[in-house]
Amino acid sequence: MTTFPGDNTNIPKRLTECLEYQPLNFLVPKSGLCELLRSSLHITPVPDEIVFGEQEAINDTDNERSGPIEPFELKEGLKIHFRAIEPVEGNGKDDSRDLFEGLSEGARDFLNTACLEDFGKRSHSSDDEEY
Amino acid sequence: MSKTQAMDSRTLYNLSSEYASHARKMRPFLSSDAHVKQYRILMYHAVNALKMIKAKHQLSIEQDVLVTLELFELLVQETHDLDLAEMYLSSVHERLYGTTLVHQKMLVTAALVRVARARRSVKHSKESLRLVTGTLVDLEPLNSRWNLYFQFLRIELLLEISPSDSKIPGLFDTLITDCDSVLNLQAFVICSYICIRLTQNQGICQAHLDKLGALKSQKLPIQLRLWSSLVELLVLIYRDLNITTKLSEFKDLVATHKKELKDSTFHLRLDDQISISVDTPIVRYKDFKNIILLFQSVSYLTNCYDKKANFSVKFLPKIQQAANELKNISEPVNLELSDSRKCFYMLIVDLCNYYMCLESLILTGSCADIESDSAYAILIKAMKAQLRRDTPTALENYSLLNTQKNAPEFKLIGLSSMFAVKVANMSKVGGTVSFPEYNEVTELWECIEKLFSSHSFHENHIWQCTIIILWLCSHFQPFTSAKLFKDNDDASHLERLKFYFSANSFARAGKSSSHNSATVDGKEAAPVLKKSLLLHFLLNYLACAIIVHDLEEKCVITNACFHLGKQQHMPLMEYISGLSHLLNCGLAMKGKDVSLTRSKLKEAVKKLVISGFEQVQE
Repeated sequence: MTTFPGDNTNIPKRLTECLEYQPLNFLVPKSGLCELLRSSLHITPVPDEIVFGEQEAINDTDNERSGPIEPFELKEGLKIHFRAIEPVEGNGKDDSRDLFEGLSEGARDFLNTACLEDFGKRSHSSDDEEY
Repeated sequence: MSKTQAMDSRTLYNLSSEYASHARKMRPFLSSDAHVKQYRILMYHAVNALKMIKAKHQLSIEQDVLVTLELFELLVQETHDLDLAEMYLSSVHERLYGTTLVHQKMLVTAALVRVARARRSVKHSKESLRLVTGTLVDLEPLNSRWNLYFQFLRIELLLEISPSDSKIPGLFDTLITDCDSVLNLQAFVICSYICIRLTQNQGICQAHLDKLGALKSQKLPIQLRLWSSLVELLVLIYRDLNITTKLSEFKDLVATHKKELKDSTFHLRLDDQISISVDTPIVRYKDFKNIILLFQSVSYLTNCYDKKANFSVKFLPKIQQAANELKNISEPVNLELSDSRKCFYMLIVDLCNYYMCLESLILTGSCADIESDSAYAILIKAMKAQLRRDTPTALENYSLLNTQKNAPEFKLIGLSSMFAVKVANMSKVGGTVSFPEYNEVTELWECIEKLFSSHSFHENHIWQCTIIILWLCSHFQPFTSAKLFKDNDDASHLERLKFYFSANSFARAGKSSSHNSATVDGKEAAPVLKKSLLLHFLLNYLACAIIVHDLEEKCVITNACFHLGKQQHMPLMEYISGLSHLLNCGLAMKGKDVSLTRSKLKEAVKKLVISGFEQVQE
């Protein structure tokens, strides 16, 4: 064979030289799959005792009474730094929904809806998530 | 004096639970800032009611522990107030000092470790490790199963502090043995052990794998069986073995239990008192079905050129779309978990993206640009650069893969690719390689051998075969004009080449496709390698040149190489196999084939010239 197609070009003629431009594409990494399995796991021991259950005797020493309930006073509150929440996108028809709907009467009575504002005013922090 | 002061502790406790559970129920409906505010008001009250119980009522220690743990859960899940959570826990921890309430002590200690881990710093992990080690000493005389949980926690903390700590495998062995009486936990711990060993590309103790197999036939919760099977599947995928048998196992499992697989949480009960909750979306059918498709897609990725079996081509876009949709749905869970879910779906989306890029590079030689500094992204950038013949950029990115934080498999891919590129370059410039350059290449090879032998890559035939191929490419004259110095290991490499070629020759395709790696008459039978066109091409090309002497067989192989080269993007491989085929046909005096091959080669050359190769002036 005196001449062959491509012999006067710089196209590589040896196998090894071709590997400069040919990735070893059969080496597929798998680490991501393992990471997916591991990072999705949450393991915690859970307390399963009921110490405030119905049957449980209440051994508070002060005078117990259970109502009527009134909104809690703000001076008893504490400062909380909430995690960021991204509102769910889309369904505009739900915007007017009142999320307190469905609470028991007692829970509604105890609710002080000014709790966050008041702490916002008292706080001098620039952190948006702070109340 | 407020009347709330007089409210009894049970009422406050129930109020707190009501606020928290109501807020979580509303989590999927937070569609405006006003809603977010309402959610926070609810959580604020949930926290505050518990705080009031602690401040205003004399509680028994047991009650105090429970209220404090609830408070801690809310703070860790919903807020950034870890200091506050820790303060409450520490004070109740002190109150428990000197008491015999082991169960309560352990719950609080576990919670303290969780707060510390939420801070994500090595310093806090080290402090926790001391706490856990001390706790294990305290537990020693008590014969309590809390010991098992804290052994597990110790391993997790050690992994956070130094992932390759040499104590870890031994600690796992001990724990797995100690779990002999709690099978649920034993299965779970073995799964964790396997995942960790895979992450580090370390060998897995066959006895543990066998034990897991045996445990699965016991009465494990269905979620745990699913989880175990997924981990076993991952082992096969890491070893590049055939997964079809395993897949049918899933089919049976899911067919019978699909309806039970709705909840992401299941419990491992250690005894009457101790219960460990495990949460992962993967054990829900709706998530599981995507995960299993993703695993299959990765396992079959190199098969993508085969129109009849291109699983990844069909499914990766679908998995990605599903993950994108699930990512945007908020579940009625706490914020910690909903953040974690979001990350989970984002990771699936990213992985689909990376694997689609790798697939596209195999099929077309190009893919979309990627903006990320993950190991996957760097690998894709390197391969892309190589394909557009930008060697410096390719080498730079491949060397970036070889950093400490990356998994060993990425390091070895980086090193092997750098080696291939550098050896190619040496051959291109012929005998004019400088001594430092030559040295650099041989040192690179030493690094490859060291990494290979210190990890589990020898369990994978694709990797073994790759190493043989790279060695032959760099040490044999017809393939390189600048061969590296050989010690005396010629024979062993040639033996291994024959071994792999015997079951994967293009000349006997179809004949030996049924047997997998097994032993025949005490000798290891050669495995049929997973389908990957380039690997099979390289193997056949090398074997054809070195091992095969029968001219007719040579013609069959070079002909197959030349034609198969077209099925995916590897124009240079197509070209050189065309040259070999032309030569072989010439020697075999097949005039008709010579002219046919010559005209096809001319077309191949034309395409290569269009893509940027040039005429050289001699």
